[in-house]
Amino acid sequence: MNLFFNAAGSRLTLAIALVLTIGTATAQTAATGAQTKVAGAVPGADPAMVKFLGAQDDMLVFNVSYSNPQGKRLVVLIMDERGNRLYQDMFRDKSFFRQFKVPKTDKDLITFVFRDGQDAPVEKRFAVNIDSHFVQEVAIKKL
Amino acid sequence: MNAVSLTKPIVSFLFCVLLGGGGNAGTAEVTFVPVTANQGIFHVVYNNATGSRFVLQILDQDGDQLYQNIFTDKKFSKNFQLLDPDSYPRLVFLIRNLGDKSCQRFEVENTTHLIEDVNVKEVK
Repeated sequence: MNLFFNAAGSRLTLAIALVLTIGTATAQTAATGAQTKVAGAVPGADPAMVKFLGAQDDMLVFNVSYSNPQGKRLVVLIMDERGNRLYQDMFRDKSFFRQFKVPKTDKDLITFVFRDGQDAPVEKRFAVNIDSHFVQEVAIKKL
Repeated sequence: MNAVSLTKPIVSFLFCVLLGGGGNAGTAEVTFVPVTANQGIFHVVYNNATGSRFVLQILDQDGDQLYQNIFTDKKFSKNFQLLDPDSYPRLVFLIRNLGDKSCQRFEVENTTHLIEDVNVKEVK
């Protein structure tokens, strides 16, 4: 049981570290895209947008934006398939944008949860399937 | 790779060079035919027009002999398959013609790459 929590804790720490280093740095450059979304937001429209960008080394990269025009307290939570918290933090950004890197596993269900005081939180789920296989390469040269 | 394990490949290479490197020898060819994901067949062809005796040797990366036999076929063609191909990142095929003293050497580099297909889909 302790091992389970330790593993979950280390993933949480890793994710947080990455968000702090990468998310802040990229927030400015990518803010244009996020603002486009906010400007186009209409009442009743989905305020959250999560886009999978691709895999980078052992991480999956997601762009996450949330339209929070009133600057309410926004809690962003990322969970894996087992419900382990990979990341959680609170923001008051009116146009929230961060880039997240989530540890890559062969099979997973990543859930992004957004709570800004509304009755039901907004959730975005992503199914992850990684098919790994070895490819053999044989080179023959005559000397 | 230490000095001892290097000795055998160097000796076999020099032996091949000293025998003449196959200047007028009938052309030999070694090709690889994939069968499954990590298994395949080495196809060895040797045009031994005079029908003289020749030695076919297969060595591993350390110069250790995996196979040796003497043939006299004029049109030699045989397939070779490794039982455990993952254990041999490098192979050497040597064909030494005992009649014209020619020698032909083929080096095989066997590498494997991990390919990952990452599929991430939003679940509505």
